[in-house]
Amino acid sequence: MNNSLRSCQIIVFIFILGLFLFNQPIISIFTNNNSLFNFPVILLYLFSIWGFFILLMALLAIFLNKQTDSNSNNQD
Amino acid sequence: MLSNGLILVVSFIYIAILFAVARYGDKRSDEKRSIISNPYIYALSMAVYCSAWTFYGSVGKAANSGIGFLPVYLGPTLMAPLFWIILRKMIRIAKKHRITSIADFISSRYGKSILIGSTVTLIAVTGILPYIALQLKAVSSSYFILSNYPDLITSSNFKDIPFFEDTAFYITLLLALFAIVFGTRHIDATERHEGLVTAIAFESFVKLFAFLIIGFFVTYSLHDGFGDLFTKAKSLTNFDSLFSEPTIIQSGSWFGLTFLSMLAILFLPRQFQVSVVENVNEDHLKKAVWIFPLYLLIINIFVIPIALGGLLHFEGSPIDADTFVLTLPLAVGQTGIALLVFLGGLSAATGMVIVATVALSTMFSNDMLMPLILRLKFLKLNEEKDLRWLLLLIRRGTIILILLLSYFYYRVIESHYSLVSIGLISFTAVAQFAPIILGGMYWKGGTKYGALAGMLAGFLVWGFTLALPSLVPAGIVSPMLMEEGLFGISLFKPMAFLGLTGLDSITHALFWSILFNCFFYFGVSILGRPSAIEYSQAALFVDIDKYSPEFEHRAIGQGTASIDDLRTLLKRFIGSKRTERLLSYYAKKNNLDWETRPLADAGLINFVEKRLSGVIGSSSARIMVSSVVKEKKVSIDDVMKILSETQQVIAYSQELEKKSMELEKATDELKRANQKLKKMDQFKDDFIATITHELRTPLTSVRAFTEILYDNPEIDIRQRQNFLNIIIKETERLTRLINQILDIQKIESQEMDWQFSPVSLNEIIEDSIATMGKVFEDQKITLEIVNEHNYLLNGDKDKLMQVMLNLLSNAVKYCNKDESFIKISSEKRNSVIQIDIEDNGMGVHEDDQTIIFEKFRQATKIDPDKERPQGSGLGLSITRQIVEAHGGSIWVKSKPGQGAKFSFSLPFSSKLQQGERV
Repeated sequence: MNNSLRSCQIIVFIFILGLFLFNQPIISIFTNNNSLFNFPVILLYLFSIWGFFILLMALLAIFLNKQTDSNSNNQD
Repeated sequence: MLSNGLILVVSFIYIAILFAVARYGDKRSDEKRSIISNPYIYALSMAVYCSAWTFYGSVGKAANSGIGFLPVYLGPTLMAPLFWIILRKMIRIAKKHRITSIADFISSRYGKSILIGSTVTLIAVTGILPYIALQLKAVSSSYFILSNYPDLITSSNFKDIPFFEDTAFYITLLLALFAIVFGTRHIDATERHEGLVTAIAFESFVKLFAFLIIGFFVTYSLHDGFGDLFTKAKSLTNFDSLFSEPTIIQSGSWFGLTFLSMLAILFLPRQFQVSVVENVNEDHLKKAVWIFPLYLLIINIFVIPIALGGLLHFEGSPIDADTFVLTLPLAVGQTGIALLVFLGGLSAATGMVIVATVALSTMFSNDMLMPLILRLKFLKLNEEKDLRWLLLLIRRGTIILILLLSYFYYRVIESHYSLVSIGLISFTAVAQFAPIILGGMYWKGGTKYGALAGMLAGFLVWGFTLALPSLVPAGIVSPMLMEEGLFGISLFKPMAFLGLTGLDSITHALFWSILFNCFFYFGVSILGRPSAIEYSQAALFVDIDKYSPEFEHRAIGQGTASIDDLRTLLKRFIGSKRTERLLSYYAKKNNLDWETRPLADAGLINFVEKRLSGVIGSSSARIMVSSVVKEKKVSIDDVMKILSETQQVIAYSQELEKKSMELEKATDELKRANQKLKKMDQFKDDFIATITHELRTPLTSVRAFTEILYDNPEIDIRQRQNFLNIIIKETERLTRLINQILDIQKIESQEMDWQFSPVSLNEIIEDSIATMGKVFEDQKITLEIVNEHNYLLNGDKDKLMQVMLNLLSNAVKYCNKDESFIKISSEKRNSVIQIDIEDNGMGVHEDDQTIIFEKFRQATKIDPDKERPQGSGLGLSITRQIVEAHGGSIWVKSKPGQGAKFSFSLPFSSKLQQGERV
């Protein structure tokens, strides 16, 4: 019970983090004429945040896996 | 330019491969070696989200609005972590209630209502049909481009083709065949279509592969990598507007589109089909939460480069940006790549069409047609023995109907839209399910009429603000409506509803439709009162993990029915073989005998209803079951009472479980304590036996010798001396034994009077050797002493002497009698002084190495041929207790036959100079 509440909190945290990172006003910081290594900064920003977000979810998956393992151990 | 024949052959071969893959998936499923029971296949099948719209339309959108294509993929990415909360709950509910489609899900939640089911179906069909049409259009136009390039496409030369010459028509027919073969394989729609899912996963792989190939080709073959492309693209006239000031971000549509796609990934019928109905194991979600977004990321990496490549190449020519992925390789003469791209687009389109058609046809037949047909009395379906043919006919018929409707829709409106806009219109239609599904899953207050009102309000607003304007270019709706508003009222302009301007059309429609939807859903729900069945379904959905089946039976079914009626009913829909199997399974599980029980209980009625739900949908199942069940009218108060009772019972049983677990734990502890006590009692008995034996031996000899002396006063003086000597020795032994017992008793009861003071280690060793000196001499023992330094210890000198003496006399006792050897050494190790006493005797068996330090225990594993030295079994135990009282420890290292090394350690206090004494 406690475990699932904890994973819920982590999930909602990641979700809200993403909601902010992928939306206004943060992305408007990067909508300008500048470019980095020839790339428009907005593209660099969006794709790297995207990758980072996927990484976070891969970690979440590991966490969820561990948690079910420990749950099933408790039941044994 | 490629020949028509080649393209046709390649596309039909591809579809043949698709059939083969699906066949293989079904074969594996029949062999119980499911290929789709795997998180990777699951994530790939979710990628059916990427339709031809992604494949062709993303590039088009990127060419026109830069990053504007991204929100459609960022939305699902953002939603992915919530899969574990929302999608998992949907999967659990769907499995428990044997849900077959999203319409079934909603209708089941709101009291298994036909009205709700049909409304959802209508909205879904209206919203999705154009979307399927769009896929067919993509197939058709890609075929056209491939075979006619560089002739430019205009709508006129498209319209001239009669449908029987249109490739897309034949592909549509093939897809209908595919959906029928693999989508209606089982009569029970909750059974997974494993072949279909395998094929979809395969298609997801093909479209990704094809898109990456064209991406690499444009980026690294036509240009010199990403950097080069972007540098060159700076010369484009609209480059700045693409990236530096994308209007999409400023206008609020960025958020609107992200939000819309977040809802779409959960509530599109085809997504519901692959991620809920076809889900094998909810644990697969764990991997899907990151693999699916990763897929989206990868398939989008080359969108911008291809768009820029296309813009650079075709700047100034009227080529539609939606076709860049095809026209670019064709323009540079790479027909092979173009053909591969065509196949990728075909896979993206067919995947979407197949799943969407199966999903729509299931809801169309189960939640709309079946309940209606079953109600029509004049068809006399009640007299039919077997209705399976009808069911399959309806489901297959609807597949053909939906695909043909889509095909003709595409023929009518074909060239008026870009790919993206129709997709988003469909998204907005299915977004109307969001409030009632999410509300239904987490809020018990939502009612049937609330849901109906919300959906209809949202749908009407959608129709007015999005669907109507989309029909204007086709000439179906007059453009006057757009400019002047409905009935000439300016507040009712479709694109500026109630005067709201400044938003793009999708965000505008989304905002108003969801607002009206929520307003009516919550408003009507709060004002109304749920019926009994709505209330119980609400509780079962919201608290999915709370109620066990037994409680559910009581809350739902209160009627009785005869077993025979239920059997006949089941047979009509699932055939007699499966009916008998199911009923005997139920009887076995519940220890029932149908012969002795002609009446079915609530549990069986509920069981039959669930089974039927999987076949004909929950509202039809309800109708069929209530036709044979004499139902007691259940009031909402009854349901509430039952629910609260069951909750109490659950709480009570949880408490009981907790208590019994605690009790079990306590019992275990008691058992352990009891065992320990028993063991100790056994030791005590052994001890008394040993001790009395040990005490009796000297006592017996003392008594024997004193009796001799008493009876024979004339005994010779030397003889007398000898006897008296023995008596003294024996009494000394007796005293020693009694002292040992007293010592151990004192130490254990912590009454020992310890005299701690600084003592020199060497002094202790020397004194004890001196005490034992005579013994060493008598037994000709070679003694070796290794102590380089002298150490100061804090301890009780007499007691430490006792330790040394005990260990030394032990060593003497067990020493090799022929070549006796004892070595004493002391050494500082970290913060302790370790003293070793080594002998070359018989050694101590590994099993005995800890036992010997316990009270009244002696080594048990001794070579039976050798003489067993005498001892009380107390010496080493006292030694251990003294060492431990000094804060040290004692152990033995030995191998049988190779001597023993007894070591004890004491806390180090300080080092003494040579010769210094305390």
